[in-house]
Amino acid sequence: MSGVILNVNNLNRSFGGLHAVDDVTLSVEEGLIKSIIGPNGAGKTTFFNLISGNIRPDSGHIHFYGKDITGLKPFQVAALGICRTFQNTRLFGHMTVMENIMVGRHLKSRSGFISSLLGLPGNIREEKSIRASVLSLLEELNLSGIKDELCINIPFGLQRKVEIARALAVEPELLMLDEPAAGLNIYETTELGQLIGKIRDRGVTVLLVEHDISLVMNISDEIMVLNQGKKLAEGKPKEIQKNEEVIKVYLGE
Amino acid sequence: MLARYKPLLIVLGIVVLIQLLLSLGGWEFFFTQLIMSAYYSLVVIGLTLLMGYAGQISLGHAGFFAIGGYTSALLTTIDLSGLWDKGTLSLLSSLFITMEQKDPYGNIIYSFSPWVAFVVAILIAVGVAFLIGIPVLRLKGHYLAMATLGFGIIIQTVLLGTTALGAADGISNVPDFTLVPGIQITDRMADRVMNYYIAWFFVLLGLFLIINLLNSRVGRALRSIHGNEEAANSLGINTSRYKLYTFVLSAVLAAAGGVFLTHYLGSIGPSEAGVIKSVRYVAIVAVGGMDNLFGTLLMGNLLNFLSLRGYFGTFDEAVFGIILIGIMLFAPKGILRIKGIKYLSSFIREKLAVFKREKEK
Amino acid sequence: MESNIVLQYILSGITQGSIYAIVAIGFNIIYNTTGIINFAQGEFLVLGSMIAISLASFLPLALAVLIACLATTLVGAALELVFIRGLKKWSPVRVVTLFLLIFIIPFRSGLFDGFPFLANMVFCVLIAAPIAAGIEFLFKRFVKSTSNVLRMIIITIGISILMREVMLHVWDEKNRALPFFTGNEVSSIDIFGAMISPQVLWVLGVSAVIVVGLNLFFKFTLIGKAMLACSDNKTAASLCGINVKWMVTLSFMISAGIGALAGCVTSPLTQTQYNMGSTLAIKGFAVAVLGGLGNSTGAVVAGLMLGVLEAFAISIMPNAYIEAISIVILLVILFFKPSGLFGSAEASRLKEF
Ligand SMILES: Nc1ncnc2c1ncn2[C@@H]1O[C@H](COP(=O)(O)OP(=O)(O)O)[C@@H](O)[C@H]1O
Ligand SMILES: [Mg+2]
Repeated sequence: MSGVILNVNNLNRSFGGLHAVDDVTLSVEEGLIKSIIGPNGAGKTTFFNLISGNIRPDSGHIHFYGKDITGLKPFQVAALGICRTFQNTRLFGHMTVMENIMVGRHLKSRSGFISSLLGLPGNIREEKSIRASVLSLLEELNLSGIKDELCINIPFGLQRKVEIARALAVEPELLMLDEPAAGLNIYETTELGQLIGKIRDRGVTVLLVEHDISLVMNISDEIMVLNQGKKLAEGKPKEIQKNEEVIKVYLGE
Repeated sequence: MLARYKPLLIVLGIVVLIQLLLSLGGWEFFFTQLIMSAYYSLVVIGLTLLMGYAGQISLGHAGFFAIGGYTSALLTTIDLSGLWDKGTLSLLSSLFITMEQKDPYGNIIYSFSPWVAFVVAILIAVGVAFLIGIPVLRLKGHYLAMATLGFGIIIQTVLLGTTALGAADGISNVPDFTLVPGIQITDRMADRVMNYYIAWFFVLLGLFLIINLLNSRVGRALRSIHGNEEAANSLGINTSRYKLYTFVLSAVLAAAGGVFLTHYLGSIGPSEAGVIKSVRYVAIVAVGGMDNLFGTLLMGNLLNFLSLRGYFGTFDEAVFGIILIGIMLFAPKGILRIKGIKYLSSFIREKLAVFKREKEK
Repeated sequence: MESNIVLQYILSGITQGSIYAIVAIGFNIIYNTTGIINFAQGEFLVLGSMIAISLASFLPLALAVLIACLATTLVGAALELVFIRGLKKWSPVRVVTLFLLIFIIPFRSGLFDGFPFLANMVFCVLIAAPIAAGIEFLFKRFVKSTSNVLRMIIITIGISILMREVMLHVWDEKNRALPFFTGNEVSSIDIFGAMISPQVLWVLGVSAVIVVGLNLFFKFTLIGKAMLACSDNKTAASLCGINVKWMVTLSFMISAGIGALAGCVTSPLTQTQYNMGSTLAIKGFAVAVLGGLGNSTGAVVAGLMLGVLEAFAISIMPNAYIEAISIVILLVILFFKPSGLFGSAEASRLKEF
């Protein structure tokens, strides 16, 4: 397999005087796990926000499968096949785990406002198939046990997992995870690593921002290092581990 | 699958029960206020959808109610003889587009039939809701509140200042609304019970639609917007479009309530568009629990009924002010979720379950 | 148009506009310290002038106005303490306020009218006291004090209804007015050919004093600077030892006080009715937004602009539609430039609305 799924060219974004993302260029190959690491405040989340359309770049371009997606709204980006999670989980707290993941099926279903209002038979059929697919996803991720819990009531580790499950329900081509291991214990982190590997094996490309270096080194195919908004290095995990500059600003900190 | 409609059956049961009670007890004079409350609750359930589920406040929904009521009142009382000749008018009448009636002085005039007026009223409400909703729903918090409040005040100012709409007096002599031959919205004493059921038919219809919506992909999307708009957006939900559609739907329900109530009472005045009314609707939604459709339905009918019967006396407005403050301070999730009441209802449910099990044995 | 008529329009516009500006500044003061828009702002003007009107029947005018302003200031403090702060412990101010609010109900509805005055009072106290105590207990036990914007909006709307109804029951729905501060209804001054009432000068003078006074207060007094610090950054302010809670109370007091004063000086010209607060509030809000929410200099300019615009509109459109002008302007501004004419878009985006 080959082909570039995501192409970012000379992306820039400042907040006031702060250059949060400074002329970053990046390409992601289809089917790989690509990680972005860097110290706190390096601009990783901002970089994600730019790709997912949550904020607009000052300059630069983003291409997804060759299509220019710069400046699209988040829901448009999602519709093209890019789905993300958030550094601070953003579940719908007062909906159940099942319902949260069902929202993830939004793009894969099509009942409109009027037909929903009238409760047409087509809707009801669609609703059944949404349920079925979500149930099998829950089964696969071992979440069936908590499917009827409200999300505010489940432990933090599980919230992270549910958020990933919700993103998977969208069936994206590119999954972007923003620090999915933050706040998890060692066992949960290990499990997460396996889950991300499984996701890649399904053929989903993963773009991962993560602080846990051992997790990143273990599962990534490629790594980009950001520092103060600038790209510092890019390469295979082994190369990054040997890179003098990276060691200086990041690994050795 | 049909479980979702069970609450509707319960509501219907209560409605029938109340009718039987009042008719057998000889308390038929209560029907008038019950009917009015029912029509007002069309506004309330629409606003519940908007505030409780889509998370958008509106302090201008009385404006939509008035748009519905006034449009219908105007079209069904206007004299069309100047516009078309007699032949055309009687042709249009046979097509149910216009209607022959007597004006207050006993002259025969032709006006639009209520159904035509109803459709036009709804279309206008939809148009205005889109027009105002597109810019307004970009706003949040105080700005949204003030913008919708401002919309309501503009509507009222226009009504008060336009002589064609009766200025301060409003429009009266609005004809009965014949829904199908033999069934009409009217305040004739003899038809009170029928009108009670007509009103509740429309409320149940509104509830039916909203329940469908809430249990669908769209309803889930709405609740997710309320939960976290950014997350909803990144799952591919066009949040601003759904907010707009919900706003329009709630405006349609309010306008429909306005049309029906105006035909029922035979008149409408500018106070229906007032800030006080809009705030009242918000108070009812708040006290019912925001995202609790049946809670707001119950509180809406209860409070409106008590208010219309005059039980609050000269403290009518004050009651709603106190409710607003009290609920927000002590029970922001609505009065039905206060601990004591919750225990009571779960206690009853438990007992019922035990009772059921024993019956099955 | 003849020049003296134009001048007439401009003067009456400025007069009305300066009142809008005062209401807008009232919004701004509270908004800056709390992030809340106080929907009851207009009621402060009405309450102030109502109290002054009653007192003026037996006190000298100046004293009546002074007491009315002080009383309204206290009401502002009480309302904040009772309804906004959501204190979870026993609070004497709250009990007293609640007691007075409840006392009005039996007293004004004439529940015990057949009895002699003293007995009537005693009965009313006997009813109101336990209820007030009960509500105080509710506060202590159950009050939820998370401040979310929707809740705050609804609470201040509730306060405005409550104030309006209390005024309706304490006074009535009649139009009243304070006497003219100098001269009477018919006295007028000739300013370059435009005939105006001396009261107009009072309004303009008092408004100017309020604006200048507030500016000095915020620039040069310790408390004023502390309040400004709260508006910049609450956490930082409280770290510097500023008692943020009392600053909030103080902001309600100042808003109420200047509102009352503005209400008093305009009362002879516009008369006072119990329910005119909400119109004043929405116009004041329009002005506040037009000038940039939180920006009081902007509010003055915007207020004068709106006033003059309204004055000229009277000559070209039906009187009944005038009320809608300010609201249309408000909507237009909200849609196209919510940061106001003088606010920066960047700054308003950073604020949480
Ligand atoms: N919306 C914003 N407004 C102002 N500054 C921001 C905003 N978002 C991020 N920043 C700043 O940009 C820099 C990069 O932040 P971020 O992308 O969150 O870093 P990371 O995710 O790598 O820790 C930080 O200094 C942060 O304070
Ligand atoms: Mg980050």
